[in-house]
This record gives sequence, C-alpha cells and structure tokens, in this order.
Amino acid sequence: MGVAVSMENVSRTFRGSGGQVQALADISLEVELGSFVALVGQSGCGKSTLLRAITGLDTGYTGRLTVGGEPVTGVDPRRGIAFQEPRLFPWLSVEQNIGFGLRLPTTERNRRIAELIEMVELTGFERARPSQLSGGMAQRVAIARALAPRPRVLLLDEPFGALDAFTRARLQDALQDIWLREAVTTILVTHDIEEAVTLAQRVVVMTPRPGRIQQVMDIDLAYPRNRADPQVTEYRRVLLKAFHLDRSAAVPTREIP
Amino acid sequence: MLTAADSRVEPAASAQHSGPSKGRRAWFGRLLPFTLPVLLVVTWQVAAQLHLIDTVLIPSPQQVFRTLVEAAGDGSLWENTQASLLRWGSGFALGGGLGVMFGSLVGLFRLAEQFLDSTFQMLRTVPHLGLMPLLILWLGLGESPKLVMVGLASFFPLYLNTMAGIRNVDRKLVEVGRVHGLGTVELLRRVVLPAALPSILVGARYGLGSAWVGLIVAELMGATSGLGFMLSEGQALSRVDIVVGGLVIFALAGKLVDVLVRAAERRFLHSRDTYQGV
Repeated sequence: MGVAVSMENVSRTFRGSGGQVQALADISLEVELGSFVALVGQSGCGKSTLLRAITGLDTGYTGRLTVGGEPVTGVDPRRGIAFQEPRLFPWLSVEQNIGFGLRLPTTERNRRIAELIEMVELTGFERARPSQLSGGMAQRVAIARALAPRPRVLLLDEPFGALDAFTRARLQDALQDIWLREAVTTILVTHDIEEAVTLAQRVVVMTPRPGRIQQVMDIDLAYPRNRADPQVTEYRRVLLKAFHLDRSAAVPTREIP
Repeated sequence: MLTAADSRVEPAASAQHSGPSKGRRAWFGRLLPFTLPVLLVVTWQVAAQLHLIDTVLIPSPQQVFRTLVEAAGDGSLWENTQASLLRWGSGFALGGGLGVMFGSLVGLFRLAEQFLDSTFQMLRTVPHLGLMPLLILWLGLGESPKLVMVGLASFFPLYLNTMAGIRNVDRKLVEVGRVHGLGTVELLRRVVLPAALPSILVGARYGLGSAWVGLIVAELMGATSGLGFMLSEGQALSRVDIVVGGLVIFALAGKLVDVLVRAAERRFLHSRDTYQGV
C-alpha cells in the first residue's frame, strides 16, 4: 500500500503575547492510502493544529509534511475537510451546499450531488435550507460537501463533537459506511475514545504541552464494526488505560447502601 | 441510519399558526396594520364635519381628496410625482452605488479603511440637509443639486452597512471557501458578498428613506416641479389642502417603496433564522 499522508518531525510553535507556545513537537506519522486513522487526545494536545496543517490552512509548521508525495504549501481541493460546526452557507440549499466545490458540467454535477444526498440519506431534503436542518442533518451535509470533489484525503475535525450521544452514534455508523463505500483516506480528530476505536484502523494517541504522539495502536477488527462488540470494548479499555482513565483498580472508600 | 428522530424539518408557517383559528388569525393579521391610519382619518373627518377644527388651517380628508383628484385631473399631480420619483431613483442609484462601492473597498482592504474611513466618518457628521444652499450656489437651480442632495443622503447608510456587513462575515465560512480552492475574486463573489447581503439590504432601506427626506429639502428650495415644489406652491398660495395632499402622496410613495424593498429582502434573505417576535 502507498502512503497518502506523511509527516516527519512536524512541529508548530505559536508566538503570542504571553511568549511562545509549542503546539506540536516532532510529529512523525505515516497514513496509508485508503486507511482510516483517528487522532485522539484531550483539548490542547495539538490534534486540531495537526489537522489544520494537513489541510493547508496553517502553513507555519516546520518539518516535512507531504500529501500524495507533494509538500503541503496551502489549501488544495484534493483534501476535503469537515469541521465541528457544519459551517453550511445559510443562503444555499442542501444540494447547493453539497455542490459548492464541484467544478463539473451540469449533468455530471447533478449526478454526483444526487449520489451524495443518497449516501448521507438526505433524500427529500435537497431544497431545504440549513436553518431548517437538525444538527445531525447539517453535519451530514457538511461531510457530503467535503466528499463531493472526490478528495484524496478526507479530514474530519471533531465532526460529531457537538451532537447528542444518539445522533453521534448514528452518524458514526453512517461515516463507517461512507468510508467503506468511497475508500477514501480518512483522518478523524476526536476526543471520544469509543468513536476512535469503533471507526479507525489505527488510533494515534496524543498528549499535550507540547503536542506529541504518545502511542499508535492498531485496531485489528473487521468492518462493519459494532460499538457493542466486546472486542471493541476491550480496545476501548486499553485506550482508557493509556489516558489513565481506567478505574478498574479503584478501591471503595465507603459502603453505598 | 437516518430515521424520523433525526428529521426536524417543519414548514415554518404551519408551526407558527396552527389550530382551528388559523384562517381568522391570518385575516386579522392582515387588517391590523390598517386599523390605526383608518381610525385617524375617520376621526379627522368627523372632527372637521362637527367644526371641532378650523378647516381653513386643517382641511378635512374629503377636501384633501378632492384637491388631489383635481390635480390628477389636470395632470400636474402625475407630473410632479414622476419628477420626484425620477430624482429619487437616479439620486439613490448614484449615491447608493457609490456607497456600496466604497463600503466594499473599505470593508475588504484594511489599507483603504485606514485611508478613507476616518474622512468619511467625519463627513458623515455634517448635516447634509444643510448643504442645500451651498449646492444651489455651486450647481445652480437645475437637476444636479437635487441629484447630489439625494445621492449624499443615500451614500452613508449604504457605505456604513456594506462595510459592517463585510466585516461581520463569519471567518469560518470564508475558510470553507478557501478549502474548496476559491481564489480571492471567487471568494468575494460566492462567500463574502452573499454573506454581507442582508446588511447591505438594511442599508438600502435606510438609504431610500433618507434619500426621500433629502429629496423634499432639495425640492422645497428652488424647484419648478416635483412633490416638494407642490408643497412650496401650496404654501405660497395659502392652500393647506395642497400641502396636505402633497404630504399624503409622499407618505404613500414612501410606504410603497418600503413594501417593495421588504419584498426584495424576503426574496433574497429567505435563509435568515432570526427571532420573529411573539
């Protein structure tokens, strides 16, 4: 398999009024073509900074960062991104939002939009305005918009972070189906360990101050995955341990009647 | 995956007025704005007929109506209205167009802001209605001082609202545009301008209103046609009914344009998700 995204000693330092803050320190990572990688960590661990660098929205990094063998020097429509907020254009309908970045002749364009609307299961809402959509539906539109120009890499920055637990679970399943169908290299930034374990082939654990990769864990489970699967739960437990959030050894301090 | 629980789309209208009294409420809502003006006119007419008011100083609505019909009959009413609307439209197009142009320039480029904005803000505080005598001295009694006055009156509302609209565009939406590979021009056309449009339309509504006021002032001083001329002629002839009739036409035309601009807003701003009042 080829390499889709390659990082070698990528660092990023922000200079603010309070001095320098190192957001990323010596990040080295390879993301294989067509794979699904999750970057997990608490707030401030630099995972979103790294994603913005891969997107090309932040070019102030040092080190070597290449996508498809080419160094990242700016944004590129071959990299699609969806953010935590849907960021839909309020004056465009659902189908116009999805087609925003499409540069195709009308027939092909309409075919691609119809295909995406079906994929994110928004049939019947083609002409709806963003203000009429629920949070989950708006996020589906955002993901479809990112996928529309058939990017080489799909970047997701905590896309389900603002959704309720039920909607989030449904959208995670939807994303899994989309990835299986489109076979697009996907990098997902999340602070939700269960989300990372359920979706990704490889989970990259990051720690803050400065942002570093603490460990990389391969999740050797077949797709489609089920979050209730005991093996998924087992991986989740191991990861919780990595974050020192496993309390199985905690001792009771009082009897609770 | 997508189930009924995930669908929240509901037609806004039916959500707002549901229940059995829907038809009656719509009917009531449509009539409500007219109640106050009708009530005022009726009271006025009754007061005039009972001689509670001096009809020489305050003619009855009936008298005013008769005067307007007369003026319509000899063609002078249409002539004056036409002259005023023409000045209003062309002055607004001129001043408003420049306002949008400079507002965009200052909103988009910080260098332009540093260079122009403080001067414009200073000029804005000059009461432009007071410039009319100066404009007549400089430009004479023809059409040009009137155009400049109406243009001045419409410039600032559009300048300010265009600039504010552009500066208030969500940076995150601009980022989405950049990620999709849009260049500067495309970004302005497809993201910044549509996002600033609501604010620009608000400016247009204010601008049309203030242009209307500028127009009267311009026509009161040295005009030979227009509704403002009709007012000053009525004053010269001590015909209060002509003055009041002219004011009625002013009010009606102003309202008509406001209705048109609101319709344009609804057409372009169907996407707004704002509080509509209880």
